[in-house]
Amino acid sequence: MKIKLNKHWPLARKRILLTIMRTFIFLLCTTVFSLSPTSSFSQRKIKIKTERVVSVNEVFNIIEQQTDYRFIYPQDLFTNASKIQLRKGKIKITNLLKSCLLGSKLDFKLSDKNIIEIVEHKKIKQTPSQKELQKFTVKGTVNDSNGQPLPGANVLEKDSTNGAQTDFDGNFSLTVSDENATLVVSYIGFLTQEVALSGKTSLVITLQEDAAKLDEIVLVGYGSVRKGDVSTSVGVVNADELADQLTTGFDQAMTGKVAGVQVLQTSGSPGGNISIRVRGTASISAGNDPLYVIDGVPLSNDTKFAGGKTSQYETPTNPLNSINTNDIESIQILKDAAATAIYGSRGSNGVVLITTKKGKSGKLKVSYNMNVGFQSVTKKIDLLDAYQYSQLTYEARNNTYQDYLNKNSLSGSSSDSNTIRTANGAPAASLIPHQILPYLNGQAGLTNTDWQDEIFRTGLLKSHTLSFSGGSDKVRYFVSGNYLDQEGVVISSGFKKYSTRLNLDVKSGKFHAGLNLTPTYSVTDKVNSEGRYADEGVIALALGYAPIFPVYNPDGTYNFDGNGNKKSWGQYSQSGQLNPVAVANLTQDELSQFNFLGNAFFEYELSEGLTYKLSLGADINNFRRDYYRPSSLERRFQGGPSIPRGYSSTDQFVNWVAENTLSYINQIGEDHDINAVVGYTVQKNRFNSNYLESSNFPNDLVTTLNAGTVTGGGSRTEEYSLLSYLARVQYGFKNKYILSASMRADGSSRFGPNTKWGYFPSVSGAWKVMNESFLEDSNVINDLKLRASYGVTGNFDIGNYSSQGLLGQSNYNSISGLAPITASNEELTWERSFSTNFGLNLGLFNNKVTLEVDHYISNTEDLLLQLPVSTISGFSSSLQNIGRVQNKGWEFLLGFKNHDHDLKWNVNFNIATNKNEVKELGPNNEPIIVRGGAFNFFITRVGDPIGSYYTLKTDGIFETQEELDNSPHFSGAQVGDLKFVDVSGDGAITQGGDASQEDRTITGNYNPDYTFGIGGSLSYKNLDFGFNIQGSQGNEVMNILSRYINNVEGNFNNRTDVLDRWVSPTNTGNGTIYRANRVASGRNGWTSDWHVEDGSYIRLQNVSLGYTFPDDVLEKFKLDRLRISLTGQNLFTITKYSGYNPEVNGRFNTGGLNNTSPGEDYGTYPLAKTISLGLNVSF
Amino acid sequence: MYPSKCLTIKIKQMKNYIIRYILLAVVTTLTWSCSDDFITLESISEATAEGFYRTGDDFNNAVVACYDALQSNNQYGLAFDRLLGLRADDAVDDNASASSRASDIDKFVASASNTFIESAWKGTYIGISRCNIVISRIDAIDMDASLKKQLKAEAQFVRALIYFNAVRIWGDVPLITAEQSVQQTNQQIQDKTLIRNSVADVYAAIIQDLMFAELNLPASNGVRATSGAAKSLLGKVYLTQGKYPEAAAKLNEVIGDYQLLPNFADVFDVGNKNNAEIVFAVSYDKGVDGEGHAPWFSNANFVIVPNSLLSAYNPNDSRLPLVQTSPGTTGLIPGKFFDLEFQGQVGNDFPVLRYSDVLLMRAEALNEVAYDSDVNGDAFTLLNQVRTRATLTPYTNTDLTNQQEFREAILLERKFELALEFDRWFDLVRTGTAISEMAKVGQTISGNDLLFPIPQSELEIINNPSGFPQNPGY
Repeated sequence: MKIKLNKHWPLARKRILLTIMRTFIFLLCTTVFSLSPTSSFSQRKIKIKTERVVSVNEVFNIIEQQTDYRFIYPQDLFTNASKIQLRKGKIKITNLLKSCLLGSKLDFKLSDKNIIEIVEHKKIKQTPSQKELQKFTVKGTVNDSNGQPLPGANVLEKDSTNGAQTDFDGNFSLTVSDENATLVVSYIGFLTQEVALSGKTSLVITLQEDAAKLDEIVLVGYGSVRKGDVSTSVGVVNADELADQLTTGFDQAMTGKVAGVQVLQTSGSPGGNISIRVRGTASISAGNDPLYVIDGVPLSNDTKFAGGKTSQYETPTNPLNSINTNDIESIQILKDAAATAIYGSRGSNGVVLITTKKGKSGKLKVSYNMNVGFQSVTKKIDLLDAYQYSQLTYEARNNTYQDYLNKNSLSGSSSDSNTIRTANGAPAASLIPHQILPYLNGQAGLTNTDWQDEIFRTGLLKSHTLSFSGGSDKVRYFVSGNYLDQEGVVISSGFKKYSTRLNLDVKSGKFHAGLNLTPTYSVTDKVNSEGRYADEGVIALALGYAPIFPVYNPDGTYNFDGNGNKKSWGQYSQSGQLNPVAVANLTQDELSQFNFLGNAFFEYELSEGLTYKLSLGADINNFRRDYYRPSSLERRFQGGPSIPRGYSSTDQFVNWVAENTLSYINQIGEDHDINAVVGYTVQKNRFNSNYLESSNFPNDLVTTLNAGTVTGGGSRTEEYSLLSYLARVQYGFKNKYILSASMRADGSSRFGPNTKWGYFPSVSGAWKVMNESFLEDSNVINDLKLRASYGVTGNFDIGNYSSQGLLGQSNYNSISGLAPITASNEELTWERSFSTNFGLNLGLFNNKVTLEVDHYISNTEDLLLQLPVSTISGFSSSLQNIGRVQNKGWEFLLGFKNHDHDLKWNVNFNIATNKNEVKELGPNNEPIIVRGGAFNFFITRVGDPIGSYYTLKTDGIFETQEELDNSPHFSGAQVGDLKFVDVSGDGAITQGGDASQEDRTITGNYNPDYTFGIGGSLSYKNLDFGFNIQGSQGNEVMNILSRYINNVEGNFNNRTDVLDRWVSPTNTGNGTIYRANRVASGRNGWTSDWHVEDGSYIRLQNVSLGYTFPDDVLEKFKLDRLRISLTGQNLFTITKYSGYNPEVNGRFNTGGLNNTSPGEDYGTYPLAKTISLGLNVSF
Repeated sequence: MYPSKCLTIKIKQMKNYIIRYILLAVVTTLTWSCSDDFITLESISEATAEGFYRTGDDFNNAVVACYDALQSNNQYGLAFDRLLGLRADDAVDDNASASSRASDIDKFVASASNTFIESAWKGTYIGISRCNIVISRIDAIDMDASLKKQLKAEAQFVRALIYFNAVRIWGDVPLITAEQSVQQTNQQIQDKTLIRNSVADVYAAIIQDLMFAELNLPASNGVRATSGAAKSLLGKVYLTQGKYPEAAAKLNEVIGDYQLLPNFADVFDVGNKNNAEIVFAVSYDKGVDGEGHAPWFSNANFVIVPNSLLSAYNPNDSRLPLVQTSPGTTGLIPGKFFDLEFQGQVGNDFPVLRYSDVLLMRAEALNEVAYDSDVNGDAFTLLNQVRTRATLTPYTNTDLTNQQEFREAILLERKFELALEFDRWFDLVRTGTAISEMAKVGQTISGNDLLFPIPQSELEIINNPSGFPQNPGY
């Protein structure tokens, strides 16, 4: 439609006069001080409460309501004018008016007495009469960058009054002067775009959102504020940054994007593990995971070990498996305590708020996403082949034999046969296994198995997502379904997921209600990939298993020659190991999960700005795990068939939450913005589990437990509840100064009767310097904000009944008895973090350059520690609140962006440091020493980070006898063995014992000095390119797997490093690898800094190339959007670390003191690199 | 009030437009009424102390837990085997390199950090706290009055036994006679009121407990404590204190209530538990997981019965085979604790008080009061009863002509009769012969060695050298 100007101008003049008089009288009567200077006028903002389409007249009414400005214009001036789409938020009056008048030949000006006059545009040249024009009609659609149609956008022929407005579906039709006309397309909140027709009659115009985006809304928990008004530290990841990543969990998609948020891929196992650390590790014994809140429902994070564990190193289940990345609208990470204090007792590890996509009013939009990719391991470890292995074994055993001869003053030589060796009384470890003899003789064509190749494969990963969205003014919907199928890169592992979502939103008058439902079913095919070879970890087995053995026997059965005794491998004192392919393929292990996440909310606007909201949510999880270990799989040191064993477990978690909030958002007068919320919430979680195990199955035909004899079982129920009151008020003055304060009171069943309630206050402030008069007109600085905050948060992740004294069975000769097993602690209370944050936001050149800097200091006090107590109390330890840990660090986020030209690009760089330091422990600051795997120790002591590696230290190898004689050493040490450092200086090497003798010392730590990420995107016309790089620096890994695969003993296969081993005083190799010996002299195998490796890395986490089909193609196929993309993930990692994955954290969550033993690598599922093809269609 | 109920009310009220004005008030009121009950949840799969200790059955379970403390590895199950079994001259452990340092106890070089000493200390106070829970709480319970007295008496018996062992192991020990929490203990430590009470005070408490126990325990009580056990133990306490007339009198009350089995080996037969000679034994059951124990004095633990003991026996002594070892499934084990049927654990009971012990104690007490040369007098009769059963010839007044000879004969008889039954060390200390007797087997010790050290960890936690000092010499 066209904007027509009213012809009855003279009549209007009378009305103007009347209005002026009325207004004058009104002003005279009501106020004498509301005269606003023009500069204030230009800064005044109008608040739009809801998104809607209104007429120009209505816009003026809104302005009149919110200000004391009055309008002067002919009444029916805008009768036929295009409608205006208003977006929620605030907008400057001047901008709003410009939009209203855009495309008309009208302009506005502020006259005296707060009167806004609508006047004719002076610049507009007289339009030639339409009859003179050649008629040329153009049709088109206006979309946003997501392909959503924009109803009510203005389309204007440049330098004319000729214009039109898009309809409800974003379509417009306009007759212009000629085929070379230029259209000016504008829409509030978006950058105005000029489009040259160049003869085209059909257009699809995509508007880019305004870069400034200062009115973007940020969720802050139980409410939202404008991004510009945020006074705390919040990291944001938007949907477009998550798009086109083929991931099984969105956590991978947010890796490296937010400063201070460490997303660790500790294991590559499908469906397994997530480890997110927000600003370091604050707790020694309680949880360190952030709280996840999805569409307002706080998830329970105790589902991690649902289904039980088959080995102590098994990785937890990813609690976020059920969330489909494609459904996510945005992720916001509340980092500082002032932001998280509104979540009180669950806030001290950060809060991750996830918002899913909602429908937008408009026609039905159908979107289909497909990704198909191939996954393969990121890395293989270089190992000896069968010939090199045999040589190593031979040398190691000869050295053992030589040591024996020397010790017993016997004569003999390496050429002695096993018969002679045995006759000399030499131990089995000095015999030469007959299996290696052909290799030593150099016979060609013998079995030479690469076990890594046998267990790794290229896995197919595919994902399909179909979504429908749309709606009317009142009802909006988003429906999606997702199917994901991942074949693991390790044989016999995989993950399948089926999920659906319904998001519904209904608005009518003052009522607003919504529903989000997400049922998800997933099945994880598990393989025992983590941990020790002795626990049947297939990775450790594949690395250590002798390459001289084949996978299969000639008859097609699995070969178990590397197993222990009876197969004559053990008679030589070789380590019995199971065939890793057999372990992976024969063991059946499946975990299925049904997750139902849903919430419904009801909102009612009680009065202007005052809204009551009731939200009811539930997170229900059912897990089932079935495990069967068949008779065809031998047991270590035993021949087959073995006794089969099976178990089956089910776990159910029901977590419901109800929240009542009353929020008030209003602007009072011109200068006072109030955004307040009060509420109370109740939450309860119930966990039920049961399991059964069977043994003695007659055969492997039926693997369900009914086929065997039930040998054990049990069931268990636990509950917790949380009751909370919360309040927050944010006050803004003149849009320059913001002060925010919040308070939460949490009552939890987990704490003692005297300490059930915890109080978590916070206060924060921001100074929006850019709104000060001295910066107002700056062309350089368009955003400058200083922030400061202080808050108290808690950690309630301590187990359900820790405050209570529990009783345990204390039977006497079969008569049942009960006695206390844990001490009650009625004073047991929350770990509390006291955090200060200072921050700065800077935007330059219309936000083309942005900088965000944060500095924080967080002290976590009242740590929950199991402290030794006087046994006179009847207990030897008791859980108490004692100790303090500090985390402090800097975070920088620097962004560059240019969307002004066809070549659009942006780059973001973030870097974060965190220093973790234990400040206080128990009464005497006694260090906590925890034993990891393989006699590896961790120490948590005052002055150092939590869980530092605590081992002996080495200083090369003994090169000469003289050096050996003059240095403290373990008895039996020889030239060629590791030289340990006498840290205590007492002339002896001692591990354990009292502190004066102790030679263990801190040799590294899992905490990085800093983490960083670089992400960017670049697009030129229809092509787009994106990348994401992340890394960390200064973290060490405790690679105790190298105690096996680098032990130079010849019992396990070894890394090729050992080819450079010490052989003799004249052939010292590279001087770092000690002498081969089946029975290592000098305790070379004791865990030391020899096993500690630098875990710093830099990884190309994601790179993508996309092509969006041009409009004419889309038009032909009646599509809104068609994009194809090629994506690569984890394509390469630069690191010195010798294992698969420098982020490994093998003892992640093993038992109570989980945080005190991080960074151990005992074999882990390698990360996969993925190359995938994506297709995105919407219409 | 259950919260979902609260919510329903609210949802209903939502429909009402009045909510606009009263909502805040409603919310506030309802939440208050829902608050503390909602966040008070008891453990479901484990009983809590808060919800327990309410009925007679609960207290029966609690009393069983007291016996369980005796049975545990921190007392008779393992720690005493190393602490009391090795200390004297009836067992030897030469394995100085073992990390558990049991040998150090045998050689009198055990440090205050010795595992078994720490374990025994822990077992002592876990046991006492279990007894104290019963004793402190049971009076307030509504239950059968006589059963209540009996259960309380059982707890007092066990407490007395534990304190009796403790006072003989460490001397002065903290005397805790009422239930106390970790917090109270910590408070006492802070106030420096947690001290080592005098041996005399501890004995006074023991006697008080046993006097209550002997009155309120039944004569027969299965594997649990009886009035006879309380009397016998009280007799032993008196004897240890040197209160000979009291000891003789108290032990006399038991005479005739038990009998010596004709065949000595039958007393220890795992198939003949709780026989007529057993006054009180700590009971085990290898058939139930966790209710048996690892073999005592097993050479798999490097423990051997020394020749000095074996060769001291008269070859005809029917008790000799019971201290000689024979191969079991876990190494050589002496006959007293031999159980061929090893099910990952063995099931021998540990005889704390036997009738022969009662007889010998009474004989000793009578002799200490005054030597009686009458071979038909009580002292000689009691002593000879024991000897005769062991197929030895009875003593006459020409063999034992005076009090001292009689005294030495009793001590020697106890050595043979009660070998490996954790009595020897206490007998040596009680009779003041420890230093001289240990010298006979080449072990030089001093007066300081008569007591064990207080565990180092406990001293560090309590950190009160004046009120809670280490024993001299450690």
